[in-house]
Amino acid sequence: MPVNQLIRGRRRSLATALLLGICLVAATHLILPILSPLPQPAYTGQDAVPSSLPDYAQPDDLHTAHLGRRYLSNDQPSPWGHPVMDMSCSMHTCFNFSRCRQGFTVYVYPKPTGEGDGVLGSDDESNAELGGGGETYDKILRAIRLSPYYTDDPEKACIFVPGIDTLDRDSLSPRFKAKAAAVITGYSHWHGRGENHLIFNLYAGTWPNYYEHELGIPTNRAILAKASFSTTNIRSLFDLSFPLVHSQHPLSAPAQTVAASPEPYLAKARRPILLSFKGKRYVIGSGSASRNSLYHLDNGKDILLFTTCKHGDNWRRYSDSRCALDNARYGMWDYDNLLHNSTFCLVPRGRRLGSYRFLEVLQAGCIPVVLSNDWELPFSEVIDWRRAAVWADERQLLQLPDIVRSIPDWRVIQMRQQCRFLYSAYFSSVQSIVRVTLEILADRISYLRRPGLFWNSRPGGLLVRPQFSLNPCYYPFYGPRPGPPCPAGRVEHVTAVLFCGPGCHNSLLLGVLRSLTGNGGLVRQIFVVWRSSLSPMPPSMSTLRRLVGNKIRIALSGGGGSADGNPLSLIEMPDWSLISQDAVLLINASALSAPIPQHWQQQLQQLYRLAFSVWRAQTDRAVGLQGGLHFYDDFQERWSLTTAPASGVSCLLGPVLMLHRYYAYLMSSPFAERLRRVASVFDGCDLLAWSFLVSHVTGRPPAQLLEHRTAWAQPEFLGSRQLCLQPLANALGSAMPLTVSRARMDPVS
Amino acid sequence: MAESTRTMLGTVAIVTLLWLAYLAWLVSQRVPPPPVGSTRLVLDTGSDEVNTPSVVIHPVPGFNFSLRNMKCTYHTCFDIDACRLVGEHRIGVYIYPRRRYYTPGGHRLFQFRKAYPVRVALVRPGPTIIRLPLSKAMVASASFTERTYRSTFDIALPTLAAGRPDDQTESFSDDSLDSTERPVLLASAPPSAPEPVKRLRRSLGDRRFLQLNFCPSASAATEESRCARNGTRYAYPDVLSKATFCLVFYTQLTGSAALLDAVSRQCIPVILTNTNVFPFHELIEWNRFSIRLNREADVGSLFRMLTKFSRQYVAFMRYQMRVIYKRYFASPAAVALAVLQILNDRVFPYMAPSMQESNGPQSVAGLPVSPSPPLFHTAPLNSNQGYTAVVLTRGGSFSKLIRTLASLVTSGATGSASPRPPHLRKILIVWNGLTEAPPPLLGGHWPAMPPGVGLEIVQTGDDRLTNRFFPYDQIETDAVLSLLDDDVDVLVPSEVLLAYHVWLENPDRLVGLGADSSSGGQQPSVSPLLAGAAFYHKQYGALFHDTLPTELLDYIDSIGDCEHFAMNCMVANLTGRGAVKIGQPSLKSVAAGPGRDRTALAADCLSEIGRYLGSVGLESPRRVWMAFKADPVLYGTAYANWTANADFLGFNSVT
Repeated sequence: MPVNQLIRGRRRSLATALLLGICLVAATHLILPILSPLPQPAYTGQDAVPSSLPDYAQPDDLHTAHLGRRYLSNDQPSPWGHPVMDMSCSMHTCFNFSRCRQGFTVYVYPKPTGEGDGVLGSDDESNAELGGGGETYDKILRAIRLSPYYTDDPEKACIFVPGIDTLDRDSLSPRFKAKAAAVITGYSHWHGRGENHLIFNLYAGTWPNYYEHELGIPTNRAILAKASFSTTNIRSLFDLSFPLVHSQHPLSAPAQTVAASPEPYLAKARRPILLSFKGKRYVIGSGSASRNSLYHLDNGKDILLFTTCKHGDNWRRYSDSRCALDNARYGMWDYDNLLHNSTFCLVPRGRRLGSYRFLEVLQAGCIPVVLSNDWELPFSEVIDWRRAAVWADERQLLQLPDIVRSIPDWRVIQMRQQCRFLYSAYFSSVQSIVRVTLEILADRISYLRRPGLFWNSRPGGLLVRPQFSLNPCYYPFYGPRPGPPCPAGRVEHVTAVLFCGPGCHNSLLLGVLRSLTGNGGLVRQIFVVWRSSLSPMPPSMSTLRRLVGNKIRIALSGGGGSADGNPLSLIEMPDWSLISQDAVLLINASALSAPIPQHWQQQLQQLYRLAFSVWRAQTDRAVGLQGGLHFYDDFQERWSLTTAPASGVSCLLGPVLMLHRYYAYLMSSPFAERLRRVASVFDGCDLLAWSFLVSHVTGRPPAQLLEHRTAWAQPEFLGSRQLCLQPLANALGSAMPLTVSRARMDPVS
Repeated sequence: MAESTRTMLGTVAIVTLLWLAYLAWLVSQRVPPPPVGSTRLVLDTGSDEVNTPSVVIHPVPGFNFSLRNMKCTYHTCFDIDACRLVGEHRIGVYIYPRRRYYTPGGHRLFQFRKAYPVRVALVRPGPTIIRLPLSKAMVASASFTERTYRSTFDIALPTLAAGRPDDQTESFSDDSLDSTERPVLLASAPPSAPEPVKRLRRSLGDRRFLQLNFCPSASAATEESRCARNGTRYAYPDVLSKATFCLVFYTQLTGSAALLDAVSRQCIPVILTNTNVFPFHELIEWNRFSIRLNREADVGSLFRMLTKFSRQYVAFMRYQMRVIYKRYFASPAAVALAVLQILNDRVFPYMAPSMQESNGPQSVAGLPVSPSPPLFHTAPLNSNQGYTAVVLTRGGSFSKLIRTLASLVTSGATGSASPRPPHLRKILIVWNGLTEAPPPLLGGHWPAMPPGVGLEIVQTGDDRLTNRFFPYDQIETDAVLSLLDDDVDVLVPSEVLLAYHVWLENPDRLVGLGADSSSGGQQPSVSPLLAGAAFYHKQYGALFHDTLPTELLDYIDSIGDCEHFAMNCMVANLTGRGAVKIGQPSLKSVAAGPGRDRTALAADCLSEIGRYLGSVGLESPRRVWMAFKADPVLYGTAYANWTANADFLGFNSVT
């Protein structure tokens, strides 16, 4: 054999061997990653972006396998030349705090021209049923404009919200706005990155994969408030998990909100049906697995799960052997009936992780059993859902009956009440949903953040302002357990605010002051608000000091009569931070007849003591004299007031009122701005405004002391007051916050 | 040619062999299948009887973060099938014996590979990086950032200082508030101070800003002491108790115990955070006692911000820190238990404590009472449902029982022609532990019930007074009026109606009628308690029997006349609110049974309840006895005289 040939042969065999080797190794690497998880190459330093790591998830990683792969990568170029979404964002890296130095403000970009026509054009019945975005987004924008954070100056804005509808990003949907990306990237403050922008979204991705980040918008560094977020794709403490709201969801709260009809069957922890579900199953495709296997759990007695295959136009094409049976059973129960008669209601994933059902179930006072693995529940940043929902696991579907049966009755009752509370406080209207979104963002920017207690117990985070205090002791709502003991001194004494309006003169003022001083130290602090028309000059401070002694601090404001034309209003409180006691006693001195003889002073003192002891037992209520009852006058078609004895009490009209210091703060805060405006417009409504405020916050009626006095039922007295009932309610954004008490507090003789 | 073929074949054979070896090596790195769970292991037994547990703990001296599957969440990578729902809602945990795997060098990798796959790894941050096939293991570590932390899956640990004594806070009592002024406003022990901090220090001055550095000399002592700028040496971390606030940089959050040092000395951490994940954030609400700065530049305005915190709030935060430190950080054992608590809450989220509960002081050991109020209605309930009167009889005077029943069904409005008392739906007689059967319902033994009012009898086996609170299925209303057979005297119809109305507005409280057996004379710190007839929510009956310790219930039954105290204390403990009392005690308190030494008995009873419940729950200033009378608007003219001549209350219409 010639050497040449041999060499050629060797060379050939070497080449073959090399080729073979390469093939085999390549094949190995093609096959093995599927079979086994290999140790991944290490990278050094913790700052490398984890999402850029290759995916080594095992085949059993059913749920993450298809999620958002396309838009996760930082490096992937996009049609817009920027990374589509910066997954590494946190408030510290992707948010420009310096824009928020003036405080938390929100700017809404104007609607693109011609937008209105487009919405109307596609607004037919079927789309409305699909829950399309048009009206919902309008409601969201309106809610933002109604909020105290709205600004119309983009230069002062901290947060920017697009004017174009971004809720429906399903490209097959008729509401899909193809030009949204171009519009948004063209915004004046977008700057190619979208810092400080807030984008709302309800539907992302489309058939068949429903990629979570398939928004068709280069969101980049914008904050997403998105429904159906998954745990892996939400940028923790940056994005917000938004509830999936139906287009029929009301803008403002319906008639019963905080005072939502209490559970009628509390005594029975368990409703007749243990667990129920009624809804479509998709038979095939994303989200169908759980729903298709539900029938295994149905026992025909207390676990009732109804599904139908009728979904879309050509459902027959995909129907399976159970479809006929399922479709036939489907009509057996009415959906609402089922929800209201069930202890637990199943909330399985839809095509996306979230579904409308979640809010519907909460509204019905049914405890949601969430069957949607990895779903980030709405507003999970602040809401402790473990108190209200059962977090089931799709992998343990068949254990579900055992799980819900193992929950003790006391827990069921707690959960149901929590469901009702969360729904009424945060989800009952688009306005409150948007408010929660904004308050969460505002808290992130401030160093004062509401603790979870404020969000997760009554009256809820929207009615508690951290600017007042972060200490639960200073609020009237939170019981003492569990938590730190509260300093005892604050609830032992009273701060009195004495209003001296028109007709108030020195001797009357001095009489009332005397009654306040001789109480064994009950009153610690007195504010005198003086605006009398009889004597423009109030008594001198030295006179007042001499009268009340050393132990009581006294301050005087007002003076100068009613020169500015404004009558004295009983909501004009002194600066709340100067009020030192939790109990605030408001006295309208000009409503008392003068002079006050000695023995009446003693009776006034008795009255203060009674008011104080009643208030101390229930610090969240307003306590006072002269109850009135509101009712709807069908004849005049408006709210009216009555003081007829044989009815109830829903508001207080008397000259003495005791309430918690927090309400004094609320009344002067931006929260009650509209309420103050209404109260100043209508004559005699200032006092009513207090009852409205307290009932709106707590849902509880005021406590009336002593009995009615018929002299108060004069029509002219009530006449002017009943005109403002509706405006006061509107100012608080609720249908009618007042609730009725049927008890009256009298002293034990 | 043949030789060439042979060469070829040889080459192929060699390559194939090489490939097989390569394949074998790859396969050898694969993780063996997980064991199938069967029985659970109770953690606190410490026994070695290991059945396959639901969670396996593996201590690892160091860990390379990059080896994890970053897509893991609780739902995708946690093997839920190993966690069976058996009785209690508890997971089982197995801890690998340490000596088997823990090598000082930490480099002998094969030992880990041959082990079972680890589903939980407890990791202390350390310089050693070990490559482990732990891609689906949960990792508990002190050095997570928002990027490296797998939400719902990993666990963020605190960095504990090595070699410190376990618990510094032994001697604190749960109820004290510390609002003392500390000499230094802000202390800071940073490795290197950035410019804004230097500026702040210059503006605050050394007296209010204590900058602590490592002492220049004696390197061995650096852990225990720090030096101020003027050279003064302080014991660390005790020096932090001189400061109200402690500046903590994000660089200090990992690898340094600065955060816990501050918390342990109740120095409020002011954290300049980057993207750190806070230790045990699933249990601990850091907002309650720490301040987070968003940007370094915010340090400049820090002084203004810090002075805004009132002394009361500082005291509140200190209290929170003591509670949290004692509960979760005081010792490695506390840290480990917190990790297990987090795991348990993930597996059984529907039984997890609320944030409020997990941030409060630990409840008394073994007390299953849920510390959050079970009822939190605020709106008045609807009266449509009515109430059920439960009358317990122990074979006293039958005629008295009949009289009680008769007065129950007397119409509420005195003198009116109304056929039945409003709202009464049913009378349930608890025939308690009597040998003879109750007279049959039919046959004229019982007073005739007005239409709409049912009468039922339950016969109980044992003569236990606690039976009066049992949530019988026959009770179909939320409101229960609990009576004893001789309570006829307290049943003034108008007062019953009044009490019911008051209860509708306060369904989370007890609303009592008639006599009160006040032990106030003997124990001035304790509010008077309700005895006898009272309205309560049926739910409290269930809680009474479900959550109070059995021994306490037995004790109550053994001494008698104590069950109502227990009910009062339980409700006060749960809600923090006192009972409401209707009626005029001065007139009716004589009805409190002759010949019984009630006060001594009551004192015994109360102290025993206090022993079980931790406190009788009636001392706090917020728990107030309603010492006034509540009247329904419907019946209110009794006090007309009181204000008859008080004309000054009239509205003075000047406008």
